[in-house]
Amino acid sequence: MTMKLLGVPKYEPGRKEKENQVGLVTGLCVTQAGGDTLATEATLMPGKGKLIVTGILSDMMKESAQAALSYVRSRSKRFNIDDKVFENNDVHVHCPTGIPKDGNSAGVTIATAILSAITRIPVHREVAMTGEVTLRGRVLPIGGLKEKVLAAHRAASRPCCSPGAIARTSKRFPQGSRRGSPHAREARRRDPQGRAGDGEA
Amino acid sequence: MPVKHVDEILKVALVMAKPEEFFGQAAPTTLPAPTVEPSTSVS
Repeated sequence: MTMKLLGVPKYEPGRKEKENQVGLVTGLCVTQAGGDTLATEATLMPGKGKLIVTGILSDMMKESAQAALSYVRSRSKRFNIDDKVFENNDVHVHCPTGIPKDGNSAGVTIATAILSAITRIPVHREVAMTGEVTLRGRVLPIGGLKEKVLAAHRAASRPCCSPGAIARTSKRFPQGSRRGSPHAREARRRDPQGRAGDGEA
Repeated sequence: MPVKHVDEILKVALVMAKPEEFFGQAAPTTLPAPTVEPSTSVS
C-alpha cells in the first residue's frame, strides 16, 4: 500500500548478512538519506604488501584504512600472524555501493575486516560497528552516532560497538531504538536513578 | 557497546570459541620508549 502511494523507495536500507563470513564486516555510516549500514570487505591475495582501497572513498578514509592495517601489523605477534603474510600478500579493502564515503569512522570496521581476512576467523553478522582507530588501537569518538545507531536498529544488528566517550548521547536516541541499546544500558549503569534511562523521551 | 580499545570490538565481532586464547595478554596501549644510542660523533 505504501509503495502504491509513494512509489518505488529511493533508498534501500542495508540489511544484515545471512551468515557469518570471513573478511566481511558491517560498518555504520551517515549518508544524505540518513544513517545506513555499510558492508566492508577485505581480502588477501599474493602480492608485495600493498594496501588497495576501493569504493569511492575520500582521502581521509584511505588514511583510516592505512592506520587500521598498521595497527594489525604492529600487533601481528599478538594475533599469531606471520610477518611474511604482509610481505607476500596485498590487502584489498572494498566498500561496495556506489555512494561516496567520507570520514574516518570506518577505522575499527576496516581493522576487523583485515584481521578476519588474515586469520580466516569469521565475523558475527549481527555486529555493527563504528569508530576511528588509532595506531595504538584506541577507539576515538565519531559523529552522527544517533543516525548510525538507528541504522543498526533498522538492520536488526543488535550489538553496536562505538566509542565509549559518547555513551552520554544515548539520551537523544528515540525510545524504540534505545530499548536494549548498549548505550542506554551503559547510561543506566552510570545513572541508576533513571535520569538517563529508557523512560525519557 | 561503548568501547575504548579496538580489541574489545574484535573480541565481540570475531566468531571464536575461546577469545581469551586469541587475546591472551592485555592490549598494550603504549609502546616501550625507544632506546637512544649515545652519539659517537666528535665535533
